[in-house]
Amino acid sequence: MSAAEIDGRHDPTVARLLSERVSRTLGVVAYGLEGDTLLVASSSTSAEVAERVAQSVPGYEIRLVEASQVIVDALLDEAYPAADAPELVALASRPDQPRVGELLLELGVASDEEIQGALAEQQRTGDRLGDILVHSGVITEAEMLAVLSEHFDVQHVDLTGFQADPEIATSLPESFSRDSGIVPVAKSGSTLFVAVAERLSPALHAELEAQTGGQVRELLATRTAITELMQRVHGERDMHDATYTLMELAPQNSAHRVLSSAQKVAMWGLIALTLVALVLATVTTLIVITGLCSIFYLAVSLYRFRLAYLALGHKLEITVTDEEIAALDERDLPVYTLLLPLYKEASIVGRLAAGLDALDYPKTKLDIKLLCEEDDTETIDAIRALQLPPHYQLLVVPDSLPKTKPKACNYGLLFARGQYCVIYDGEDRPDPDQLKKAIVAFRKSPDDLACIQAKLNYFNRDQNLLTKWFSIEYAMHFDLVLPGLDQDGVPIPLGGTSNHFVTSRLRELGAWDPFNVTEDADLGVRLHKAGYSTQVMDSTTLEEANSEVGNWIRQRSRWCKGYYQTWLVHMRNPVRLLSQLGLKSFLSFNLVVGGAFVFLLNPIFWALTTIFILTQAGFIQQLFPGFVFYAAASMLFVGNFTFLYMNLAGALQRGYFGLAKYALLSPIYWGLMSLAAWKGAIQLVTKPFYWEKTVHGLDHHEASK
Amino acid sequence: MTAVATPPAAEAQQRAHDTPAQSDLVQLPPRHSDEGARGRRYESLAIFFLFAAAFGALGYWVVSVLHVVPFDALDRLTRALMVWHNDPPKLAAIGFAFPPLTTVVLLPFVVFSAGASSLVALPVGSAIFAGITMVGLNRALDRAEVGRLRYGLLVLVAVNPIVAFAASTGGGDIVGIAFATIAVAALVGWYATVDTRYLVSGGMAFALATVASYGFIPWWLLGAALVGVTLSRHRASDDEIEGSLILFLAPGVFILGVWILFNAVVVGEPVFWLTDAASTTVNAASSGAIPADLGAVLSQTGELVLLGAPLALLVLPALVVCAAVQRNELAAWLAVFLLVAIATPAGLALARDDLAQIDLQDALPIFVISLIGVMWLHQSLLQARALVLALAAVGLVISIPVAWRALDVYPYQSMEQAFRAGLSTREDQEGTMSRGGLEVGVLSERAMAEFLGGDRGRVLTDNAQSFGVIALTGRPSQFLDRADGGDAAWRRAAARPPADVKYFLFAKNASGDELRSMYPLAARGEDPRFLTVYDTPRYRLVAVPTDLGRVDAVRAGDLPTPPTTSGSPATP
Repeated sequence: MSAAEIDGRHDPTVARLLSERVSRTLGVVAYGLEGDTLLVASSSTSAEVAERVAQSVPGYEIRLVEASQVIVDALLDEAYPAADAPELVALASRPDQPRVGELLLELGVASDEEIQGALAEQQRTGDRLGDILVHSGVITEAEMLAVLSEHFDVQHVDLTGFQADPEIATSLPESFSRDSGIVPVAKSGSTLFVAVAERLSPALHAELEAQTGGQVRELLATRTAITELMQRVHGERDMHDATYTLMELAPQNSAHRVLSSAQKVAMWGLIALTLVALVLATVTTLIVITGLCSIFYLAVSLYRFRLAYLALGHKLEITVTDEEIAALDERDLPVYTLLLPLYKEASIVGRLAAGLDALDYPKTKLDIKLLCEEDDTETIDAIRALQLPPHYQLLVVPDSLPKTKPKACNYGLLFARGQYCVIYDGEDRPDPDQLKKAIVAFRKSPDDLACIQAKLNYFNRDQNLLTKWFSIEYAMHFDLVLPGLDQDGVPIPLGGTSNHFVTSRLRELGAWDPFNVTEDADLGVRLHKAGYSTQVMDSTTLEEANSEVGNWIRQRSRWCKGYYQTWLVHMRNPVRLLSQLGLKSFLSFNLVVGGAFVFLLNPIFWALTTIFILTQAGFIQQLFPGFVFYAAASMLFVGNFTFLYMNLAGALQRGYFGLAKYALLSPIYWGLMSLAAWKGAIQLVTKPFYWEKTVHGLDHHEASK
Repeated sequence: MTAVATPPAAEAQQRAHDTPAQSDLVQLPPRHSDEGARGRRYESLAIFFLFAAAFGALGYWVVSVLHVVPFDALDRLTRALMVWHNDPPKLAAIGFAFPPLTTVVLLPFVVFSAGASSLVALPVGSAIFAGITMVGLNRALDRAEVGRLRYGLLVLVAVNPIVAFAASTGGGDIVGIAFATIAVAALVGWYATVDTRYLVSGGMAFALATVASYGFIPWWLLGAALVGVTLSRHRASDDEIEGSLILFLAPGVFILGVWILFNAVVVGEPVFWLTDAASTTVNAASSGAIPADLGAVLSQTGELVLLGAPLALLVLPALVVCAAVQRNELAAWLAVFLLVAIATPAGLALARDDLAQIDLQDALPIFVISLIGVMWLHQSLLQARALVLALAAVGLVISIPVAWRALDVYPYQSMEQAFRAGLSTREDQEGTMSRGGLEVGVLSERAMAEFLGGDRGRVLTDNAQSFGVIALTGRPSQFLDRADGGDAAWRRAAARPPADVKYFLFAKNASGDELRSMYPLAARGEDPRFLTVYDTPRYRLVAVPTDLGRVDAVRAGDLPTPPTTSGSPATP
């Protein structure tokens, strides 16, 4: 582009549509209009950034033309004579600066009533007015960005889909970049352009310049765009971290191998020994096996009964009163990250957002990560279509193996800004005050508390018999067994959702194991091993109970497989585990997590009992001599009734009186559990890391609401 | 209802689904904090160990030194021993003669046979359940806000001679009493706090009580009525009434269901346990029914209450007055419980036409309900608490000498008179006679057991009569008895003994000894083919002649499986 060509369309007033500082640094200048097209001359080496900067001028198509630096400088000198040189200070300090609220009113993007409402909330939360308006959905991020840009006289830039020069974008350390929300996007000479969601503090600005050894210029961009850019820039590295951090940090705790070498040797040795024994003394060997299984089963039953009875009638979980919640000063509330892994759940994202909006927590302090798999375009599109406010962030997890929920959570955790974080499933309905309860609970608990588990149950418990059984089981597990474990100070296998963590501690432990399909249970054990405590909180999240048998079996088979994985991982070195946990916790771990093995035993014992009753077969009688028979009989009569009755008590402890009669039919449910357990056990061998996806949204009545 | 708490918001939201708006009763998921629980636990442990140790020591002295051993206790001890040490070990040895739990609770103490041969299992077993009873009473007294005076009341209960006998000599009654105490106290707790936890503990305790003594079945049903009616009167939803009743009744239905199933499978008669079984205690008159007309039954019941539980005479009217004046529903329910406790043995006596069914130990349930009545009166009559306590203390104090006299004069009893004589004289009661003609002591059994020591060979015997000898040997595997392969197999074996049977053991004075019936001359030592090898006042051991029709030696384990009843309940 020659000077003559530019002269033909030159209009010096047009140049002022862009910030002089940015124009000069980037070597870009708007010089004329051609219909709805803004003509921009650029000598920039960062042409794409220059174009995006130009695109920040609303209402115009941009045509970027190359020009020499001399021409660009000349055009800028003409548009900005020396006398007009701007003060290189924040306009916030200028007395004539309009307030953000006034600007918004002036632009007509917010009404006076909305501004007043936001100001009232500002009084309560101490948050910035703009943030409140954006997070409450009154104005969009883009509108706010434009206003801030005007307010601070800082150029803004649209980074949607922007592919940064990797060398420039990674010129700051990733952790620094992520923590501070700064992404370098362009470089011009010694000047580095960084995209920021809010203006840099003088200290941070100085630190940045010290780090880069040159000048730093800010370009305002939406937080969403910055996060997306970070994903594009650091995607590969992030995926590596999300997948391998635990494996590299503590390989002994990672389920990337199903069996360690020593376990393989032990297992084959045991199998060989058993076979030899079976050949040499068939009946005696079978009696020993039967006896050991019976004793184990009985021990599991009695331990669960003890735990449940401990909790029955007692308030063992952390209780937070309404008064304690009311006494919270919202200005002191920390940012809270919510991780929501979603896969093939496009149909529920609307409900999900509505549910999360009902949370009683300042929106400006929510950091909601919607974690979608790259191949799940349907869910991604559904989320984008909702145009959610910026406390929702869509994080697209790059496609790689293992494709598991924990890997997605780890990925989300990399971007988490919260002091605390929690996992919810897509269909979850936490108590509205759950986050505040967790804050109070963390604050009044000992320092070693790293995790708080909220109770889980189901909103569709009355849908059919399966959901009733499932609700009863959860009532027993979360209202009796887990509080019992909590009381005993032993490892708590966490439930799949509503686990509230101190974020730093979660990171310190390497977060979730992406290779473990019950990463929650595993993490509960690792927390305990690391010396941190977990407690149960008196707050409930309602989920959707699986209402279809096939779907339920898939879900339960994953849970069983995960428990077996978890047991195998932590039992790689039983002596070390014993020394790490202590005897009480070691036994508890084996009876609770290892207790999942009893579901494998059930069908065998049921079959033996049935065959014996029908045939009086002598060989079965032979397997149950004396003491073995007593243990087995206790297991049959005491163990089964204990489980059944604890189910019943759990339902009533939660106030589900209407489910009581269904608890009496629980043995049929255990049959399904055994089916799922065997599926899980077989899959542990054939597809150890395969994530059996649970289909949600089967509750049609609720879904239609 | 005296207490209706408010649920927290989150659970109220949940419960709105289940509880209709018009209900004025909120059965809560429990709201108890753990505060004070540790202290209560330590207190309960202290109470338990204190009383269990005291009763255990007393029992050891009574059983081992004074040789006052109730025969029914000895019978159950033998059955328990057979469960572990028979050849083969056999759960069926528990039999159907006694409520099963009274035998089952002895199992832990005879895992090592020395627990049986030394008889230590008896006082230890009963002392443990007495300790549990005391803990149950203490917790109930605490909930009734009796304060530290409750310890004094507990001591007065413990020194009551009828209680002390049951608590120390291995009798089965104390097992049922322990669970019934917990159960009724739990019902009171539920009524006062509307906490479903008490329905769990009450339901489970009643279930265990019913299989420790069938006399508690009416209590259990009455408890269910209390729960249902109370909830209904407070307009609880149908779901809540149904759920609560299921929670309360399920353990009892299950445990009795299993018992009925066993009866049906093993003896082919589902209600065998009700029609043919004995109570926990077998008294002197058990061997022969004493006709019972209504007048005699009423008179005997009056004597039972007057001598065994005079406290009831104070408590029953007080409960009735409290129910009427205060419109206190639970007071009315407890009055009904008390009447049921009094009427149950009377009803049994009428039903079986046997006055001896009104046993002295039947005073214990009446005594326990009276105590719980006192607690509820204390809790309800806020203005008259001191008076209630004073009257209770007086009633308990008076009960002691009255009960002491009852041990001596009440006609239908086990070894209570010998117990009293032993405590009075501190002398060995071996060989003396207790009320009803029961001979005290186990000298004969011990002598025979010692003779059979070593490897003397297999002995065929009717264990329903010779249980004392079997227990004291500590080796039930040495005996071919009715528990081994069932009654039919045993009868066949008795007719044609297996080759390895060297001896027959007869109970000389027991008319129910089937072996004696089959070989009457041999039992009297008059059959020249059967040489008497050893003889004691109660037992005769004879050698089985080789020319008696024999079958090949068989292991008992190879004999056909039950049915067995292991014989009738023990009689001396």
